[in-house]
Amino acid sequence: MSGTGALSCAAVQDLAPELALNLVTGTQRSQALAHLDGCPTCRGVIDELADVADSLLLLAEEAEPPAGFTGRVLARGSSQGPSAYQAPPVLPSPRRRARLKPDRRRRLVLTSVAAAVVVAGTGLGVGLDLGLGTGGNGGGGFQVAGSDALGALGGRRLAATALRLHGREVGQVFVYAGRPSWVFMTVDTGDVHEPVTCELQVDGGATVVLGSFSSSNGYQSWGSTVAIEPSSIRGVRLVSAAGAVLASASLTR
Amino acid sequence: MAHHRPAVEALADEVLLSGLALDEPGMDLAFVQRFQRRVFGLAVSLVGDAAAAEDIAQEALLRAWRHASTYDPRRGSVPTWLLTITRNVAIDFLRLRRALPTDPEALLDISDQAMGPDDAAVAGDMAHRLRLAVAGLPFDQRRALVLATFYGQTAEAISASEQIPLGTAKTRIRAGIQKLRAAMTEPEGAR
Ligand SMILES: [Zn+2]
Repeated sequence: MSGTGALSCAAVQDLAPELALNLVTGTQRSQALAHLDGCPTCRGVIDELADVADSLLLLAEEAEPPAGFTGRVLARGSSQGPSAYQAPPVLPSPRRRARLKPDRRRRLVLTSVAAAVVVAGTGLGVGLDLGLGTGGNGGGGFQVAGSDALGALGGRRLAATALRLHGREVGQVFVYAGRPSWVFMTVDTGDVHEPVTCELQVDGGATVVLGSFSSSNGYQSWGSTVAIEPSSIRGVRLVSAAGAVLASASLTR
Repeated sequence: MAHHRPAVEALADEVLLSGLALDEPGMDLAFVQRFQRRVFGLAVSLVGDAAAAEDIAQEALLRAWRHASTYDPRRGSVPTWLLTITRNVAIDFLRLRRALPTDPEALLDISDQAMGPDDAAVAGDMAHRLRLAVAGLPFDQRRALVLATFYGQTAEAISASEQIPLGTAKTRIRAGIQKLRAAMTEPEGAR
C-alpha cells in the first residue's frame, strides 16, 4: 500500500494493537490514519482487535448505583437539555473514523421508532410512553416532539414523580392529561413474581384501581388510560396480590 | 385489565437511543434505568470509591444523552459505546485527581457468576469465550491489557509504572490481545 501514507502496511500492523486501543498519538497517529483511509486490509486487522478491546469493557461487573441515582441523572439531564451540543464525547478510534458515513442508517432507526409508536398507540393503546408529553428537555413546554405519528398521540404531562419503597427510588410515574388521559410508569418490582395492582388515590380520599400487570423480572414499564380527571390524582400505589405495597408516589402540587 | 407488554423495555437499544435523541418522553428514564448498572459498575470498578463512581456514571450517562444523535450503530453496540464513554470519563477523572488505578487485576478477575442472566442472554457465547480466554492469559499480559484497555495507558506509561522495558510492555499488550482475538475468532466447536 505505498502512496497511501508515510507508513507501510507492516509498520501499521506492527502498531495495530496500540492503534486498536487508541493509544497512539501525534504524528504516528495521523500517519496511521492516513494509511488506514486507503487500506482496507489494515483497517480489518485493527477492527478485529478493537472489537476485542471493546468487548473487554462489557466484562466489567454491573453494580447497583446509590439510592436516588436515577432521579439525579434525570434532573441534571433535564436542566441541561439534549440540544446543548458540546464537543463529541468519544474520539473515534482510527478504524472507526474511517468507516463513518452520513446518517443513512440512523434514519432507518428513526423510522422504526415512529413505527413502534404507531403499533403501540393503536394496537395496545397502552404502555408506551412516546409522544405523550415532554421528556428530556423539561423546559416547561408540553408540546409533543417528533413526527406527526408521534404527535397524533398528543397529551400534556401533568406530573413526573418518583415511585419509592422505604424511601428508595424504584421507578417513576408519569401522568398525562389528554384525550384520553394516561398514567404511565417504569418500575423495578424486584423479586415479585405475581400480578401487581396499580391503585390511584384521588381527591377526597377515594382509591381507584387502575389495573394490574404481570411482574416477572424486575424492571417493568406499564401504563393505562384513566377515566377520571387526571389532575385529581394525589397518589399512586403498586400493591402485590398479597396486599404488600411495592412502591408508592405522591403527586403534590 | 389485561396484562401489557413492557413496551419501552422491549425497544432495542438503538431505537431507545434514537427516541432519546428525538427527545421522546420517557426515553430518558428508560435509557438511564436500562444502562445505569452497567455504567456505574464499570465506573466503580475503575475508580474504586462509590462517590467518585457516581459522579463519573452521571457524567457518562449525561454525555451519552446529550450526544445520542451522534451514536452510529456501525461503530459498535450501544453498551459498548456507553462503556467507552464511561471509561473515558473515568480516565479524565483519574488524571485530574492524579489518582492511581484501583487494583487493575481485580477488574478482569471475573468469575462466571459475575455475569447476570441478562448479560448471558445478550452476550452469550462470545462473552463466555472471552472470559475464559482472559482467565487463561498469563498474569503479566492480563495486567498490561487491563491497564491499556480500561485505563488507556500507553505502552510507555505501562513501561514506566510496571518498571519494565518498553519492548516488554508492548509485547505483553500485543500477545494478550492477539490471544483474545484468536479465542474469539476461532471456528465454532474449537472450544
Ligand atoms: Zn495497510
